[in-house]
Amino acid sequence: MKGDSTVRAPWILHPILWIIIAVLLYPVMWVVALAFSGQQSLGLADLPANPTFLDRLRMVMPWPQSWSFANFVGVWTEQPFGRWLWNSIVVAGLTTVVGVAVACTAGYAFSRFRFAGRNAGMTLFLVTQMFPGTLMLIPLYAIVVDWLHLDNSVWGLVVVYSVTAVPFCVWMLKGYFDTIPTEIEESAIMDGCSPGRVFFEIVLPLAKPAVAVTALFSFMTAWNEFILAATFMEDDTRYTAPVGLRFFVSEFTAQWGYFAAGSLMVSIPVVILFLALQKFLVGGLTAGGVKG
Amino acid sequence: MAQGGSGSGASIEFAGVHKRYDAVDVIRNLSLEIRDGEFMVFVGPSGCGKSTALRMIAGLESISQGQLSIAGRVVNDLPPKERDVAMVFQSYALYPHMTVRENVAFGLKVRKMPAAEIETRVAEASRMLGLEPYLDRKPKALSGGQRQRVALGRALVRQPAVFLFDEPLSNLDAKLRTGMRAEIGKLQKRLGTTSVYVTHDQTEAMTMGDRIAVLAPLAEAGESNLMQCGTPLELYDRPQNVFVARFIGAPSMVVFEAGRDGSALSHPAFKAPAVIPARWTPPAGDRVLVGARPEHVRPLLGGSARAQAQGLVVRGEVEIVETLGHEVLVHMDIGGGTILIGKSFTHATLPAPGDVVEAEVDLERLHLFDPATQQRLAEGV
Repeated sequence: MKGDSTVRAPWILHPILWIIIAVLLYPVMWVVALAFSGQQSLGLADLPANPTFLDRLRMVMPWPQSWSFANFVGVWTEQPFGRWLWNSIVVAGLTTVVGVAVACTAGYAFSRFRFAGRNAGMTLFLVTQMFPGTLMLIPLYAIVVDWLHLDNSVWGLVVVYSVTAVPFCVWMLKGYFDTIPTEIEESAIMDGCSPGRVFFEIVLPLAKPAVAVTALFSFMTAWNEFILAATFMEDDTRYTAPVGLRFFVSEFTAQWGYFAAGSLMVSIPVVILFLALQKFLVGGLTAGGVKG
Repeated sequence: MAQGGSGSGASIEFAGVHKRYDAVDVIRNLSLEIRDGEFMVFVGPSGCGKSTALRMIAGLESISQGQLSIAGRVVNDLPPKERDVAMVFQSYALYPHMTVRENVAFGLKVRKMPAAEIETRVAEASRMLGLEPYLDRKPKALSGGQRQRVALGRALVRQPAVFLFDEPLSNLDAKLRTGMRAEIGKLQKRLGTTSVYVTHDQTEAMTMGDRIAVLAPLAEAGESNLMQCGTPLELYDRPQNVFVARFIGAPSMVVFEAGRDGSALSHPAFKAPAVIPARWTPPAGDRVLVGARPEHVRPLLGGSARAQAQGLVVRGEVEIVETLGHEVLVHMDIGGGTILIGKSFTHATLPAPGDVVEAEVDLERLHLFDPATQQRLAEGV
């Protein structure tokens, strides 16, 4: 209907949405342009002596003067970037496996069983999320380095990242398990399933969306982390990619082109993982199981 | 489909069974035997413990006290998979991520049955239940009735010693419910498997059960949840207490208190004192609870009918008139109670609210209860 606010609303919203998208994408586009520029300075264009408005506009446009893969090649040849990337994949992969395994079983237990300390445990998980990560640095260092002697080891980081990711994952999975009707599990018990079989064959397949999100969260917790990795890893062959990237921009050098190319390459595994897990991020998996 | 594998002689016996949650009793002193091959219905209002009792047979609820036996074997501490029982849930409880075929076959797969045997049983059950066209569909692509059939099929293929049904039809619409009710009844008769069926719907209970166990919430029941167990007609014709009298039968039996002097009953609404038939043993006090089913209350229309009345004549004001089509129910206020007249009226004789009418209650069909114990008075033959 003409004049209907529900029809007019999108036209009003569109410019606002485009502005928000531009603001969000601008830094990413700048990184892409820098990576493909083949140069190391932050500026993508040179400003002439008497710049016109167009010259100034060109200065802020994320578009390189020429396109080149030189920065990508440089990243791989000048530093052991492949090694760092592999370290990141190992650390993040193991963190995901450990984090998801612990969070799934813990989340299920918190959802289904009633035991002493259940509510206190869930509250404690929440409380741990209220402290800034850097506050944990000293106690974690004491535990991982002094007690466990896992400094400079992939496992040290895996332990730290897993325990960091687990509280959020447990909360999320517990919430999802709560939505799976218990009758479905009872039905499996009547069919002769052991508790383990109920969990692996009935509950987990129904919780795929939550497990996928949990996996993604655990992976990204480990993948993007810098401070703990920089603290625990001393040997430069043990660095993870975020720690290694800092070598391109240090006190004495500022290879922004390499940094941007490295950053782009670091983001690729996360994008691949997201695309792989995307098919599980669907709702309604329990539809039809019980009367809705 | 052949009868249960290990299901021969699968009687079920509750012996003084109690169920407590923390300190709260839900089931108290339940003693009941369900015979081999019998279709037993547990019926009662919400909170009477009927589903809890069923879940105790299934092994999904522990037993706080007493003994539960299946086929002569005490199963108090046996896990569900060792009890040889299959259950159909109220909410279907299908596995949403599996196809109909996988749902039906799952219990057999868990029991490591050979694939060929699984296929045969699934084919047989799906043919019996008309599920063949849907075998490769997921539950979400089925209607409520089809889903409940899958749930039935899943229980059926197991060929268990006992079938347990937890209000399996309550989520279906009225028409489908009637159809499924008949199907389940026929299947049970055909397989001869001991079945326990929980419902709050007394029509289901009356039409399906070989015997019915009426359960009541402990607040009303007292010492045991079990109020009476018997065939549908036993419960209808000879309810052992006021609870069963009021619960069984639609519309319900009207129970009201009357005075007693020897064998004469008196009440302000009675036109004249009525003499209790000789077979009844009078209660100790001077009060008695009188129960009458609507079909045993006849309207006295016209002077000649009133003159010929032989039974107990009551007089009262019409409160509501409910027209059901095949019959008309007239609610008549008799002071301290409402009596229902269930006989057919013609258009011309239909009373209106506010009219004062007379009705004759068949004295031979009266039910008398002790006001103190709420139990049926003793009767001679």
